[in-house]
Amino acid sequence: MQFDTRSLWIYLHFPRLQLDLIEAAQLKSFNVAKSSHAQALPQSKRNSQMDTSNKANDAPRAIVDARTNTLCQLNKKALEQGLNVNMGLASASLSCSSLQLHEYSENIESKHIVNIADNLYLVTSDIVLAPPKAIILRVQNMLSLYGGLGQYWQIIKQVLIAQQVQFTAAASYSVQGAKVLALNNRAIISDDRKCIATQLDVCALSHSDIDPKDLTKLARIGVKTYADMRALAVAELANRVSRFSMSIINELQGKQAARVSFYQPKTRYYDYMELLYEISLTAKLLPVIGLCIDKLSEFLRLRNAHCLSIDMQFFQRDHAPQTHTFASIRPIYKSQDWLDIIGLGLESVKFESPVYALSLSCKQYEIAEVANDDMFAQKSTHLASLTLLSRLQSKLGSKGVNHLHFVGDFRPEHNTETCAIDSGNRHKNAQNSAQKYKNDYSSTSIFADRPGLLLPTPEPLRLKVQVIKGPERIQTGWWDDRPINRDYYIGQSEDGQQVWIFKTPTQEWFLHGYFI
Amino acid sequence: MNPILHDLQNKQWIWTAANAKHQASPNRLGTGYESLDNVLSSGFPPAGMIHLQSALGCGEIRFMLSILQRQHSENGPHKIYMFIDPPFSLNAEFLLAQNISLAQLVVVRTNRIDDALWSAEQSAKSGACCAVFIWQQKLSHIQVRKLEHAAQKGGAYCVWLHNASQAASSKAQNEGNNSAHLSNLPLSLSLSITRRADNLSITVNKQKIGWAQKAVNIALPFACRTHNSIKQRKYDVHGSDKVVPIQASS
Repeated sequence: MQFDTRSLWIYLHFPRLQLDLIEAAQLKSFNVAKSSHAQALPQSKRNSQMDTSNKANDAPRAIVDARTNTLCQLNKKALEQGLNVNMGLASASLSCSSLQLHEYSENIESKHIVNIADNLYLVTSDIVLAPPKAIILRVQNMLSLYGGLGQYWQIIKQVLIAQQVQFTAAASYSVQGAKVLALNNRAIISDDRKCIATQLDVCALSHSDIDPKDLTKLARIGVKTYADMRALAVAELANRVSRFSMSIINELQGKQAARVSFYQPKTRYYDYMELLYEISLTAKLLPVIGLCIDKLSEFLRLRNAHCLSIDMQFFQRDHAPQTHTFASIRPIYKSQDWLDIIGLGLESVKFESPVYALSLSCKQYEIAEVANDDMFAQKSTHLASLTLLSRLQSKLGSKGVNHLHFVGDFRPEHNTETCAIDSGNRHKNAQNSAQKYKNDYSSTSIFADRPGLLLPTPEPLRLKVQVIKGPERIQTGWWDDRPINRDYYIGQSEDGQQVWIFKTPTQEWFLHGYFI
Repeated sequence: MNPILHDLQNKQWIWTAANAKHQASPNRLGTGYESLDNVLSSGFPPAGMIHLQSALGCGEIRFMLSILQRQHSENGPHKIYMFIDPPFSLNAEFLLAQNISLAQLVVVRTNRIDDALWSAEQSAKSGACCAVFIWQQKLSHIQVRKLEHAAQKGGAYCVWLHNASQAASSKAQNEGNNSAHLSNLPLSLSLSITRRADNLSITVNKQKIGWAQKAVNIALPFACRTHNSIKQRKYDVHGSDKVVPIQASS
């Protein structure tokens, strides 16, 4: 897509995304641990525990780029210890013995960029992803909505602060310009062309997308900053640099529009979370799953949606990942409700080896319907029953909890069908169809004198019984190769048991049911 | 008064015979049979665990459902009947004949007793169920108390169906140990049902607010789809013997 060269762009650069991610996770897990232990521990112990974990969070920490073996992201503490970006690993560990190291992964950062974009998408429309470290926003069309750049930027800033990431941002009338400004740490958010131009003039070109070969060529003729380049005629530049670099330069000068494609958030939810340490006990896993579910519930809440089932994948250290589906009959979004169901479901799960990561995906969610029912009378019962069925199902499996359906067949074996309870919608349908049957048949009482319990297969009669009613001949089923030809009687035994018995044409007696 | 006793009385956990009269009537569920209401101080308790000891198939569920239906239609027409591990498969026709909507009926199948009791407890306390039916031979004191609490909390009946013929055989083994055990269980109500022809003879073994009572007869005739138009005949049948008509009642 191409856009005119007059729109304003903001370039967001995240210099230490992976480090921010790790520190946020540390903080969260600390909070979870604190809340779960808080009740159990006396006050003095609680304080000391808080101190130690704060210390753990304050430890010098660095991200190492494995390809070059140098540090690429450092936290504040590490910087205080005299470490620098691009320092070799050996010298870094010599000068700081307590340094905690993590390997740099572009993948993690790219995934998180998408996460941030998802959050930004709720407040701004045109987002361009530039993984692994940047997001570009097209501001122009949002200005009239928010009433100016100042207000708009406040909103964006709030979202980013909530994400607990460090960033530098710059605005400019071209994508390249914004990028050069942001990477040169000239963080100006302004829509004043003059102001942007003066800031841009002092910026080095090295951070733009211009081909490094061309950059050295330009450096040889003394062109290092944007101001130097602007002084040269376009023709002279075009002689020296490649066509690609020339288009970047044109873009930088606002003569050509950037080619970008905007981000479209996915309609399905997926979250992957790597654990800080491996866990093998399901009970210990629950608080961590809670963090995942919190995110999902926030995602659903913002979309006014519910979901009926979620898939969780547990990545095990030495074995293939296990996937479990957790389903609810009542559409829910609240994390507490989901945790309840997952907790019950996990009771029967055993991990072969410790879990190092988990993922959560929700393939389908539905927009919550606004129910206009009577608030007090039946709704609470209805919700309670759906919650109950979800709980039972998650513990016993979906085959353990069934509805009965009546099928119009004379053969007693075939007139009852059990079917699992699937979702809220189907439950409603089942209710309607059964209601129909009820209205159709119960008034005529054709269901009378049928036993409450039927043996799955008739057994030879061994009780001594007295026939109190009968016979009733059932001779049917010729159409599907399971014909029956029986004379049914109702009998009563000496113990007072009323049983349903039948006689075959060969004068054999069978017991088929109990009148409970 | 002893402060503990006072505390318990404030929570209404102590029942005194003095308040029998005005505590009894309002929220008890009338059974519809006058003689039974008399011995039960005007009906079933509003919620709780009911123990039914009977031979399988003497009309114990028909008896319970006929009573529960009255409460069901009044209070919670959307409440669920929960059947947990019935001994054989339930017949939909029977339930429809009892005027139970199949949508308000859930059948739970479990593999272990623990799961069955867990399901019963969850159902009873959820407030979504009208009645929970469980088929068990023996429950411990703790299990019964859990179910009783759950039923009280959820305002449901937890009906424990106890097969008397099997109980009798096991009773023979441990010499009345069983009945002593049964009488100590914290049940709301314990009934024994036996059938004689068209009548159910119901003995109150134990009840909260009241004493054990002698057997009461109530008529629970057989429901008939042909409105008694077929003449009732009685035969003796044993195994694969031939059918011999012995008596013809008018």
